[in-house]
Amino acid sequence: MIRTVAIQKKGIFVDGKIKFFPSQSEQFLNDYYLMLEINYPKFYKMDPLAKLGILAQEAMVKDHNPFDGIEDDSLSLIFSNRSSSFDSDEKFMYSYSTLKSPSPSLFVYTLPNIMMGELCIKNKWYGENTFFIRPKIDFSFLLEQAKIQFEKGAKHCLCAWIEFKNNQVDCFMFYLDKGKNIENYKDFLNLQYKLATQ
Amino acid sequence: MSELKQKLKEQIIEQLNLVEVKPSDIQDNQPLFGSELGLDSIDALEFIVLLDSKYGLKIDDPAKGKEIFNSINSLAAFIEANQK
Repeated sequence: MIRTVAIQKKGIFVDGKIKFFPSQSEQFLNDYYLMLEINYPKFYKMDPLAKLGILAQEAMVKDHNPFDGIEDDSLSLIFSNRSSSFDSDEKFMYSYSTLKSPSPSLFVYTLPNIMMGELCIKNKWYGENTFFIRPKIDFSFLLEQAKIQFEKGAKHCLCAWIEFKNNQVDCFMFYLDKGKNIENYKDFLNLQYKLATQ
Repeated sequence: MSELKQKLKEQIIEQLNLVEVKPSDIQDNQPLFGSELGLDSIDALEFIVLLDSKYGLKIDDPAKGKEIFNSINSLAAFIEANQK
């Protein structure tokens, strides 16, 4: 089984179909939280990367939950982006250099892999997780990493490209079960990504 | 004192991004940690920053933090007793 979610300028796409349209508000991530009827108040304290991870995963499970019944250590997370935690880094720098009051709650998000930690805490997942900084979204690379995880014993993988910089969002997440020839999903994933971004 | 408590509630909501919480939701004697407010250790650090930036107060003895941050009542009492 493979499932996809994209959060892009055009809205939230689930398995290639648009499900939610964006608000014009600067608080559009919070608006999506309400649209998806999520009940997880900690969401509001998160940085945009972690929010996007939560939103994408919640959109994925809304109609049909692929994580239902899986063993809590059988899922590997493989995430990637280009700008790391740039947005939170800048805000944290502003808090200590300009406001002279470094914010602990901003500091904790000055690493991009924190978004995977937030997802694992929320869902009580205990599998492997790895974050890669890459120049652009690369499904061949993500599928290769998934293949490595499957060879190491994982039964499912949640992969994502989640980029947030200057209030611009580029988020694509996919879930897949262990199987043969997963590299063949590359064209399918490219198509799903193009549908959401072009 | 009640004015200070109200102000503290508003500042905590703002500083900790408690978007779904209203000042009236926080009782003066309600434990701030381990209650439905869902505060964690990072929030405790934010309390320290708040006390420093808004009231110019530092906690000299970290062991006393738990007691001071127990509730709005204890926070307000600490501020009243220590602010010059």
